[in-house]
Amino acid sequence: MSIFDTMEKRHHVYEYHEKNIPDETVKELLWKAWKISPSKHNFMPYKVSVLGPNKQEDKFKMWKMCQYNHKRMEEAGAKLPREDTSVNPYNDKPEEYTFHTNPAYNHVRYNSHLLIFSARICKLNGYMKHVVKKEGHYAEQCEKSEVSNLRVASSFEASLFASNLTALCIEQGIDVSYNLCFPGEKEVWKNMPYLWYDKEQQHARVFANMSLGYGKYFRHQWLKDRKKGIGHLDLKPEAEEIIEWV
Amino acid sequence: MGIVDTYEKRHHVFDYQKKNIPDELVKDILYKAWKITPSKNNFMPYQVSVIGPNQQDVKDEVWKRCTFNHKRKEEVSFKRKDGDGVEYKTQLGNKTDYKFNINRSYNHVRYNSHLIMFSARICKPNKYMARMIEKEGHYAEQLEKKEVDEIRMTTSFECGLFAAHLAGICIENGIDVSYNHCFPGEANGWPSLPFLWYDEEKKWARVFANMSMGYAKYYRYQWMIDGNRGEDLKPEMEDVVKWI
Repeated sequence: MSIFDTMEKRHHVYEYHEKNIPDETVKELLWKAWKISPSKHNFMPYKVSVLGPNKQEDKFKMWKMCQYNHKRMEEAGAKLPREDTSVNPYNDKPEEYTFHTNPAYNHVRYNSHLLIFSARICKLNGYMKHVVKKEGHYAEQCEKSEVSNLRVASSFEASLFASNLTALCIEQGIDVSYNLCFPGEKEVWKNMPYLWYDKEQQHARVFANMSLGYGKYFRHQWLKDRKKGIGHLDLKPEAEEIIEWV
Repeated sequence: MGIVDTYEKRHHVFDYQKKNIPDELVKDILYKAWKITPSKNNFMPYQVSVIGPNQQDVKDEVWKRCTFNHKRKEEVSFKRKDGDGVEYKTQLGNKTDYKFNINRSYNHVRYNSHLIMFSARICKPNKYMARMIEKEGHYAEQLEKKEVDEIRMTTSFECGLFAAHLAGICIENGIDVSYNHCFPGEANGWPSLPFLWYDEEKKWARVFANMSMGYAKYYRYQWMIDGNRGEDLKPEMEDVVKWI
Protein backbone atom coordinates (compact mmCIF):
# COMPACT_ATOMS: atom_id res chain seq x y z
CA MET A 1 0.00 0.00 0.00
CA SER A 2 1.30 3.50 -0.80
CA ILE A 3 2.39 5.95 1.89
CA PHE A 4 -0.59 8.14 0.98
CA ASP A 5 -3.15 5.34 1.34
CA THR A 6 -1.51 4.18 4.56
CA MET A 7 -1.38 7.57 6.24
CA GLU A 8 -4.90 8.52 5.18
CA LYS A 9 -6.04 5.86 7.64
CA ARG A 10 -4.59 7.70 10.65
CA HIS A 11 -7.10 9.47 12.86
CA HIS A 12 -6.74 11.05 16.27
CA VAL A 13 -8.03 8.64 18.92
CA TYR A 14 -10.24 9.75 21.79
CA GLU A 15 -10.64 6.26 23.26
CA TYR A 16 -8.73 3.05 22.76
CA HIS A 17 -10.03 -0.50 23.18
CA GLU A 18 -8.85 -2.18 26.37
CA LYS A 19 -7.06 -4.83 24.33
CA ASN A 20 -3.32 -4.25 24.44
CA ILE A 21 -0.75 -4.66 21.70
CA PRO A 22 1.69 -7.49 22.50
CA ASP A 23 5.05 -6.08 23.68
CA GLU A 24 6.81 -8.17 21.06
CA THR A 25 4.87 -6.46 18.27
CA VAL A 26 5.71 -3.02 19.69
CA LYS A 27 9.38 -3.99 19.96
CA GLU A 28 9.46 -5.10 16.34
CA LEU A 29 7.77 -1.91 15.14
CA LEU A 30 10.18 0.21 17.17
CA TRP A 31 13.13 -1.69 15.73
CA LYS A 32 11.93 -1.07 12.19
CA ALA A 33 11.31 2.63 12.90
CA TRP A 34 14.81 2.91 14.38
CA LYS A 35 16.25 1.15 11.33
CA ILE A 36 14.70 3.46 8.73
CA SER A 37 14.91 6.82 10.54
CA PRO A 38 17.79 9.05 9.45
CA SER A 39 19.70 11.36 11.75
CA LYS A 40 22.28 14.11 11.32
CA HIS A 41 25.71 12.51 11.77
CA ASN A 42 23.90 9.36 12.92
CA PHE A 43 23.51 10.79 16.42
CA MET A 44 19.76 10.35 17.04
CA PRO A 45 19.85 12.98 19.82
CA TYR A 46 16.59 11.81 21.34
CA LYS A 47 15.26 8.89 23.29
CA VAL A 48 11.97 7.09 23.06
CA SER A 49 10.65 6.10 26.48
CA VAL A 50 8.10 3.30 26.21
CA LEU A 51 5.40 3.02 28.87
CA GLY A 52 3.67 -0.31 28.50
CA PRO A 53 0.27 -1.49 29.73
CA ASN A 54 1.52 -1.85 33.32
CA LYS A 55 2.74 1.74 33.63
CA GLN A 56 -0.59 3.38 34.31
CA GLU A 57 0.80 5.57 37.06
CA ASP A 58 3.45 7.03 34.76
CA LYS A 59 0.88 7.62 32.04
CA PHE A 60 -1.29 9.43 34.55
CA LYS A 61 1.65 11.66 35.48
CA MET A 62 2.16 12.60 31.84
CA TRP A 63 -1.57 13.24 31.38
CA LYS A 64 -1.48 15.53 34.41
CA MET A 65 1.41 17.46 32.89
CA CYS A 66 -0.66 17.98 29.72
CA GLN A 67 -3.65 19.21 31.74
CA TYR A 68 -1.45 21.47 33.83
CA ASN A 69 0.09 22.99 30.73
CA HIS A 70 -3.21 23.50 28.94
CA LYS A 71 -4.75 25.14 32.00
CA ARG A 72 -1.91 27.53 32.67
CA MET A 73 -1.66 28.48 28.99
CA GLU A 74 -5.34 29.34 28.83
CA GLU A 75 -5.28 31.16 32.14
CA ALA A 76 -2.27 33.18 31.07
CA GLY A 77 -3.78 33.68 27.63
CA ALA A 78 -7.02 35.00 29.11
CA LYS A 79 -5.09 37.83 30.72
CA LEU A 80 -3.08 38.77 27.64
CA PRO A 81 -4.06 41.09 24.86
CA ARG A 82 -4.13 39.04 21.68
CA GLU A 83 -2.54 40.15 18.44
CA ASP A 84 -4.67 38.61 15.76
CA THR A 85 -7.87 37.61 17.49
CA SER A 86 -9.99 40.54 18.50
CA VAL A 87 -12.53 38.29 20.16
CA ASN A 88 -11.69 36.82 23.53
CA PRO A 89 -14.51 36.64 26.03
CA TYR A 90 -12.17 36.57 29.02
CA ASN A 91 -9.76 39.41 28.26
CA ASP A 92 -11.67 41.79 30.49
CA LYS A 93 -12.81 39.19 33.03
CA PRO A 94 -10.17 36.46 33.38
CA GLU A 95 -11.62 35.48 36.77
CA GLU A 96 -14.67 34.08 34.95
CA TYR A 97 -12.64 31.61 32.95
CA THR A 98 -13.38 27.98 33.86
CA PHE A 99 -11.01 25.24 32.82
CA HIS A 100 -12.46 22.13 31.16
CA THR A 101 -10.46 18.94 30.82
CA ASN A 102 -9.90 18.39 27.13
CA PRO A 103 -10.99 14.93 25.93
CA ALA A 104 -8.29 15.18 23.24
CA TYR A 105 -5.78 14.19 25.95
CA ASN A 106 -7.55 10.97 26.96
CA HIS A 107 -5.30 8.97 24.70
CA VAL A 108 -2.26 10.00 26.74
CA ARG A 109 -3.76 8.45 29.86
CA TYR A 110 -5.48 5.37 28.50
CA ASN A 111 -3.68 3.45 25.79
CA SER A 112 -1.79 0.24 25.21
CA HIS A 113 1.65 1.90 25.01
CA LEU A 114 2.68 5.50 25.47
CA LEU A 115 5.89 6.76 23.87
CA ILE A 116 7.61 9.89 25.11
CA PHE A 117 10.25 11.51 22.89
CA SER A 118 12.82 13.52 24.83
CA ALA A 119 16.40 14.81 24.61
CA ARG A 120 19.39 12.48 25.00
CA ILE A 121 23.12 13.16 25.31
CA CYS A 122 24.93 11.23 22.60
CA LYS A 123 28.23 9.44 22.36
CA LEU A 124 30.56 9.64 19.37
CA ASN A 125 30.63 6.64 17.07
CA GLY A 126 33.97 5.49 15.64
CA TYR A 127 33.77 7.70 12.59
CA MET A 128 32.72 10.84 14.47
CA LYS A 129 35.48 10.25 17.02
CA HIS A 130 37.95 10.45 14.15
CA VAL A 131 36.33 13.61 12.74
CA VAL A 132 36.37 15.34 16.14
CA LYS A 133 39.91 14.27 16.90
CA LYS A 134 41.53 14.97 13.55
CA GLU A 135 39.39 17.71 12.03
CA GLY A 136 38.25 19.49 15.19
CA HIS A 137 34.58 19.03 14.45
CA TYR A 138 32.33 20.23 17.28
CA ALA A 139 29.61 17.68 18.06
CA GLU A 140 26.87 19.59 19.89
CA GLN A 141 24.87 16.42 20.39
CA CYS A 142 27.39 15.22 22.97
CA GLU A 143 27.11 18.30 25.21
CA LYS A 144 24.53 18.87 27.93
CA SER A 145 25.01 22.59 27.49
CA GLU A 146 23.75 22.37 23.89
CA VAL A 147 20.47 20.52 24.49
CA SER A 148 18.46 23.74 24.60
CA ASN A 149 20.10 25.12 21.45
CA LEU A 150 19.50 21.86 19.64
CA ARG A 151 15.97 21.23 20.80
CA VAL A 152 14.31 22.44 17.61
CA ALA A 153 16.44 20.26 15.34
CA SER A 154 16.22 17.28 17.72
CA SER A 155 12.45 17.58 17.81
CA PHE A 156 12.37 17.47 14.00
CA GLU A 157 14.48 14.32 14.02
CA ALA A 158 12.32 12.68 16.67
CA SER A 159 9.38 13.41 14.45
CA LEU A 160 10.92 11.49 11.54
CA PHE A 161 11.09 8.47 13.86
CA ALA A 162 7.51 9.05 15.04
CA SER A 163 6.18 9.39 11.54
CA ASN A 164 7.89 6.21 10.36
CA LEU A 165 6.59 4.38 13.41
CA THR A 166 3.10 5.65 12.69
CA ALA A 167 3.18 4.27 9.16
CA LEU A 168 4.45 0.91 10.43
CA CYS A 169 1.69 0.80 13.06
CA ILE A 170 -1.05 1.57 10.56
CA GLU A 171 0.25 -1.23 8.32
CA GLN A 172 -0.38 -3.55 11.28
CA GLY A 173 -3.87 -2.17 12.04
CA ILE A 174 -2.61 -0.27 15.09
CA ASP A 175 -3.83 3.26 15.77
CA VAL A 176 -1.64 6.09 17.05
CA SER A 177 -2.18 9.62 18.30
CA TYR A 178 0.16 12.49 19.01
CA ASN A 179 0.18 14.98 21.84
CA LEU A 180 2.12 18.23 21.78
CA CYS A 181 0.63 19.95 24.81
CA PHE A 182 3.02 19.69 27.76
CA PRO A 183 5.44 22.01 29.52
CA GLY A 184 8.33 23.14 27.37
CA GLU A 185 10.59 23.97 30.31
CA LYS A 186 13.40 21.64 31.24
CA GLU A 187 12.98 22.04 35.02
CA VAL A 188 9.46 20.67 35.44
CA TRP A 189 10.01 16.91 35.02
CA LYS A 190 11.33 16.18 38.52
CA ASN A 191 8.96 13.27 39.11
CA MET A 192 9.79 11.50 35.84
CA PRO A 193 13.51 10.67 36.21
CA TYR A 194 13.66 8.45 33.15
CA LEU A 195 13.23 11.59 31.02
CA TRP A 196 16.22 13.46 32.42
CA TYR A 197 19.17 14.12 30.14
CA ASP A 198 20.88 15.83 33.07
CA LYS A 199 20.53 13.70 36.18
CA GLU A 200 22.27 16.16 38.44
CA GLN A 201 20.03 19.08 37.52
CA GLN A 202 17.02 16.79 36.87
CA HIS A 203 16.46 18.48 33.51
CA ALA A 204 14.46 17.00 30.63
CA ARG A 205 13.30 18.29 27.25
CA VAL A 206 10.20 16.57 25.98
CA PHE A 207 9.48 16.78 22.25
CA ALA A 208 6.24 14.82 21.89
CA ASN A 209 4.03 12.07 23.23
CA MET A 210 2.59 9.36 21.04
CA SER A 211 0.06 6.73 22.10
CA LEU A 212 -0.47 3.32 20.52
CA GLY A 213 -3.48 1.04 20.71
CA TYR A 214 -6.59 -0.10 18.92
CA GLY A 215 -8.91 2.87 18.38
CA LYS A 216 -12.51 2.63 19.64
CA TYR A 217 -13.67 6.22 19.32
CA PHE A 218 -12.02 8.86 17.16
CA ARG A 219 -11.96 12.63 17.23
CA HIS A 220 -13.74 12.87 13.87
CA GLN A 221 -16.61 10.88 15.40
CA TRP A 222 -16.64 13.11 18.47
CA LEU A 223 -16.83 16.19 16.25
CA LYS A 224 -19.89 14.70 14.57
CA ASP A 225 -21.52 13.53 17.80
CA ARG A 226 -20.69 16.39 20.16
CA LYS A 227 -20.04 19.40 17.99
CA LYS A 228 -23.05 19.21 15.71
CA GLY A 229 -23.25 22.07 13.26
CA ILE A 230 -19.67 23.19 13.76
CA GLY A 231 -17.53 20.04 13.81
CA HIS A 232 -17.30 19.97 10.03
CA LEU A 233 -15.68 23.42 10.15
CA ASP A 234 -12.51 22.09 11.78
CA LEU A 235 -10.46 22.04 8.59
CA LYS A 236 -6.79 22.35 7.81
CA PRO A 237 -5.56 25.54 6.16
CA GLU A 238 -5.58 25.14 2.38
CA ALA A 239 -2.42 23.69 0.85
CA GLU A 240 -1.74 27.09 -0.76
CA GLU A 241 -1.52 28.71 2.67
CA ILE A 242 1.24 26.33 3.74
CA ILE A 243 3.12 25.70 0.52
CA GLU A 244 4.64 28.75 -1.09
CA TRP A 245 6.50 28.60 -4.37
CA VAL A 246 9.28 31.17 -4.18
CA MET B 1 5.90 -1.69 -1.40
CA GLY B 2 6.00 -1.80 2.40
CA ILE B 3 7.03 1.11 4.62
CA VAL B 4 10.41 -0.39 5.53
CA ASP B 5 11.27 -1.16 1.90
CA THR B 6 10.37 2.39 0.89
CA TYR B 7 12.32 4.25 3.57
CA GLU B 8 15.31 1.91 3.37
CA LYS B 9 15.91 3.36 -0.09
CA ARG B 10 16.56 6.85 1.30
CA HIS B 11 20.21 7.89 1.40
CA HIS B 12 21.85 11.25 1.99
CA VAL B 13 22.81 12.77 -1.36
CA PHE B 14 26.13 14.49 -1.99
CA ASP B 15 25.52 15.24 -5.68
CA TYR B 16 22.32 15.33 -7.67
CA GLN B 17 22.05 14.80 -11.43
CA LYS B 18 21.32 17.94 -13.44
CA LYS B 19 17.94 16.55 -14.52
CA ASN B 20 15.12 18.39 -12.74
CA ILE B 21 11.85 17.05 -11.41
CA PRO B 22 8.86 18.48 -13.31
CA ASP B 23 7.13 21.17 -11.23
CA GLU B 24 3.79 19.42 -11.73
CA LEU B 25 5.11 16.27 -10.10
CA VAL B 26 6.53 18.25 -7.16
CA LYS B 27 3.15 19.98 -6.76
CA ASP B 28 1.33 16.66 -6.73
CA ILE B 29 3.73 15.19 -4.15
CA LEU B 30 3.48 18.28 -1.93
CA TYR B 31 -0.31 18.17 -2.13
CA LYS B 32 -0.31 14.53 -1.00
CA ALA B 33 2.08 15.28 1.87
CA TRP B 34 -0.14 18.19 2.97
CA LYS B 35 -3.22 15.96 2.77
CA ILE B 36 -1.92 13.20 5.02
CA THR B 37 -0.06 15.30 7.59
CA PRO B 38 -1.85 15.87 10.89
CA SER B 39 -1.52 19.03 12.94
CA LYS B 40 -2.49 20.07 16.45
CA ASN B 41 -5.85 21.82 16.20
CA ASN B 42 -5.42 21.74 12.42
CA PHE B 43 -3.21 24.83 12.47
CA MET B 44 -0.11 23.67 10.58
CA PRO B 45 1.94 26.53 12.08
CA TYR B 46 4.67 26.33 9.46
CA GLN B 47 5.34 27.34 5.91
CA VAL B 48 6.84 25.14 3.23
CA SER B 49 8.81 27.33 0.82
CA VAL B 50 9.61 25.68 -2.49
CA ILE B 51 12.67 26.94 -4.34
CA GLY B 52 12.62 25.57 -7.85
CA PRO B 53 15.28 25.03 -10.52
CA ASN B 54 15.28 28.68 -11.62
CA GLN B 55 16.09 30.12 -8.20
CA GLN B 56 19.79 29.29 -7.99
CA ASP B 57 20.64 32.60 -6.32
CA VAL B 58 18.28 31.78 -3.46
CA LYS B 59 19.79 28.31 -3.05
CA ASP B 60 23.27 29.86 -3.04
CA GLU B 61 22.20 32.19 -0.25
CA VAL B 62 20.72 29.37 1.85
CA TRP B 63 23.88 27.32 1.33
CA LYS B 64 25.97 30.31 2.46
CA ARG B 65 23.91 30.54 5.64
CA CYS B 66 24.61 26.84 6.31
CA THR B 67 28.36 27.09 5.83
CA PHE B 68 28.46 30.36 7.81
CA ASN B 69 26.68 28.64 10.68
CA HIS B 70 28.97 25.62 10.61
CA LYS B 71 32.07 27.81 10.63
CA ARG B 72 30.99 30.04 13.47
CA LYS B 73 29.84 27.08 15.59
CA GLU B 74 33.26 25.52 15.34
CA GLU B 75 35.11 28.80 15.86
CA VAL B 76 33.02 29.86 18.83
CA SER B 77 33.22 26.44 20.43
CA PHE B 78 37.00 26.47 20.35
CA LYS B 79 37.53 30.25 20.43
CA ARG B 80 39.69 30.13 17.31
CA LYS B 81 39.74 32.36 14.26
CA ASP B 82 39.53 31.03 10.74
CA GLY B 83 42.87 29.73 9.55
CA ASP B 84 44.90 31.14 12.43
CA GLY B 85 46.79 27.87 12.42
CA VAL B 86 47.07 27.79 16.19
CA GLU B 87 46.71 24.52 18.01
CA TYR B 88 43.57 24.10 20.05
CA LYS B 89 41.91 21.47 22.16
CA THR B 90 39.08 19.45 20.67
CA GLN B 91 36.14 18.00 22.58
CA LEU B 92 38.16 14.85 23.04
CA GLY B 93 40.96 16.78 24.69
CA ASN B 94 43.63 16.25 22.01
CA LYS B 95 45.32 19.11 20.21
CA THR B 96 44.94 19.81 16.52
CA ASP B 97 45.19 22.69 14.05
CA TYR B 98 42.00 24.41 13.09
CA LYS B 99 41.30 24.85 9.41
CA PHE B 100 37.75 25.38 8.27
CA ASN B 101 36.73 23.16 5.38
CA ILE B 102 33.41 23.50 3.64
CA ASN B 103 31.46 20.38 4.42
CA ARG B 104 30.49 18.44 1.35
CA SER B 105 27.33 17.32 3.12
CA TYR B 106 25.83 20.74 2.32
CA ASN B 107 26.22 20.43 -1.46
CA HIS B 108 22.69 19.14 -1.77
CA VAL B 109 21.35 22.40 -0.33
CA ARG B 110 22.94 24.37 -3.16
CA TYR B 111 22.61 22.06 -6.12
CA ASN B 112 19.32 20.24 -6.41
CA SER B 113 16.15 20.22 -8.43
CA HIS B 114 13.96 21.72 -5.69
CA LEU B 115 14.86 22.97 -2.24
CA ILE B 116 12.17 22.92 0.45
CA MET B 117 12.48 25.16 3.50
CA PHE B 118 10.33 24.69 6.60
CA SER B 119 9.80 27.86 8.64
CA ALA B 120 7.40 29.44 11.13
CA ARG B 121 4.05 30.86 10.02
CA ILE B 122 1.43 32.87 11.88
CA CYS B 123 -1.88 31.08 11.50
CA LYS B 124 -5.49 32.12 11.18
CA PRO B 125 -8.16 30.15 13.05
CA ASN B 126 -10.52 27.98 11.01
CA LYS B 127 -14.21 28.51 11.69
CA TYR B 128 -14.35 25.79 14.32
CA MET B 129 -11.36 27.16 16.20
CA ALA B 130 -12.65 30.73 15.92
CA ARG B 131 -15.74 29.52 17.73
CA MET B 132 -13.68 27.73 20.40
CA ILE B 133 -11.82 30.98 21.01
CA GLU B 134 -14.95 33.08 21.07
CA LYS B 135 -17.14 30.79 23.14
CA GLU B 136 -14.74 28.82 25.29
CA GLY B 137 -11.82 31.22 25.57
CA HIS B 138 -9.35 28.80 24.05
CA TYR B 139 -5.92 30.39 23.71
CA ALA B 140 -4.45 29.64 20.30
CA GLU B 141 -0.71 30.29 20.49
CA GLN B 142 -0.35 29.60 16.80
CA LEU B 143 -2.03 32.93 16.02
CA GLU B 144 0.44 35.04 17.97
CA LYS B 145 3.77 36.36 16.73
CA LYS B 146 5.04 36.55 20.28
CA GLU B 147 4.51 32.81 20.75
CA VAL B 148 6.58 31.65 17.76
CA ASP B 149 9.64 31.10 19.93
CA GLU B 150 7.68 29.34 22.66
CA ILE B 151 6.13 26.82 20.31
CA ARG B 152 9.05 26.27 17.95
CA MET B 153 10.00 22.90 19.45
CA THR B 154 6.55 21.46 18.79
CA THR B 155 6.22 23.24 15.45
CA SER B 156 9.48 21.63 14.42
CA PHE B 157 8.02 18.25 15.38
CA GLU B 158 5.03 18.94 13.14
CA CYS B 159 7.30 19.94 10.25
CA GLY B 160 9.08 16.62 10.68
CA LEU B 161 5.82 14.78 10.11
CA PHE B 162 5.25 16.67 6.85
CA ALA B 163 8.86 16.10 5.79
CA ALA B 164 8.74 12.37 6.53
CA HIS B 165 5.58 11.97 4.47
CA LEU B 166 7.05 14.04 1.66
CA ALA B 167 10.20 11.90 1.73
CA GLY B 168 8.19 8.67 1.54
CA ILE B 169 6.12 9.86 -1.41
CA CYS B 170 9.25 11.11 -3.18
CA ILE B 171 10.96 7.75 -2.77
CA GLU B 172 7.88 6.00 -4.15
CA ASN B 173 8.30 8.22 -7.21
CA GLY B 174 12.01 7.45 -7.62
CA ILE B 175 13.03 10.87 -6.27
CA ASP B 176 15.84 11.28 -3.75
CA VAL B 177 15.70 13.67 -0.80
CA SER B 178 18.16 14.91 1.80
CA TYR B 179 17.78 16.91 4.98
CA ASN B 180 19.84 19.75 6.37
CA HIS B 181 19.81 21.02 9.93
CA CYS B 182 22.82 23.30 9.98
CA PHE B 183 21.71 26.94 9.65
CA PRO B 184 21.34 29.98 11.89
CA GLY B 185 18.81 29.42 14.64
CA GLU B 186 18.30 33.11 15.39
CA ALA B 187 15.17 34.92 14.31
CA ASN B 188 17.28 37.70 12.76
CA GLY B 189 19.54 35.31 10.84
CA TRP B 190 17.62 35.56 7.55
CA PRO B 191 17.63 39.25 6.55
CA SER B 192 18.14 38.53 2.83
CA LEU B 193 15.36 35.97 2.42
CA PRO B 194 12.07 37.84 2.97
CA PHE B 195 9.86 34.92 1.95
CA LEU B 196 10.84 33.28 5.25
CA TRP B 197 9.80 36.12 7.56
CA TYR B 198 6.88 35.55 9.89
CA ASP B 199 7.37 39.09 11.20
CA GLU B 200 7.87 41.39 8.25
CA GLU B 201 8.40 44.48 10.37
CA LYS B 202 11.28 42.96 12.30
CA LYS B 203 12.37 40.73 9.40
CA TRP B 204 12.31 37.70 11.64
CA ALA B 205 12.18 34.09 10.54
CA ARG B 206 12.48 30.76 12.30
CA VAL B 207 13.74 27.99 10.07
CA PHE B 208 13.14 24.39 11.14
CA ALA B 209 14.78 22.38 8.37
CA ASN B 210 15.86 22.31 4.76
CA MET B 211 15.13 19.42 2.45
CA SER B 212 16.41 18.98 -1.07
CA MET B 213 14.82 16.95 -3.84
CA GLY B 214 16.28 15.58 -7.06
CA TYR B 215 17.70 12.55 -8.81
CA ALA B 216 20.86 11.45 -7.05
CA LYS B 217 24.21 10.91 -8.73
CA TYR B 218 26.44 10.35 -5.71
CA TYR B 219 25.49 9.45 -2.16
CA ARG B 220 27.21 10.00 1.17
CA TYR B 221 27.51 6.26 1.80
CA GLN B 222 29.44 5.93 -1.49
CA TRP B 223 31.78 8.72 -0.38
CA MET B 224 32.33 6.87 2.89
CA ILE B 225 33.23 3.68 1.00
CA ASP B 226 35.34 5.48 -1.65
CA GLY B 227 37.38 7.28 1.00
CA ASN B 228 37.69 4.17 3.15
CA ARG B 229 36.30 6.26 5.98
CA GLY B 230 35.14 3.43 8.15
CA GLU B 231 31.72 2.74 9.51
CA ASP B 232 29.52 5.63 10.50
CA LEU B 233 26.93 3.75 12.53
CA LYS B 234 23.79 4.80 14.35
CA PRO B 235 23.61 4.30 18.10
CA GLU B 236 22.22 0.88 18.98
CA MET B 237 18.46 0.75 19.26
CA GLU B 238 18.77 0.13 23.00
CA ASP B 239 20.53 3.49 23.36
CA VAL B 240 17.54 5.27 21.85
CA VAL B 241 14.51 3.18 22.82
CA LYS B 242 14.06 2.68 26.57
CA TRP B 243 11.38 0.46 28.05
CA ILE B 244 10.37 2.01 31.35
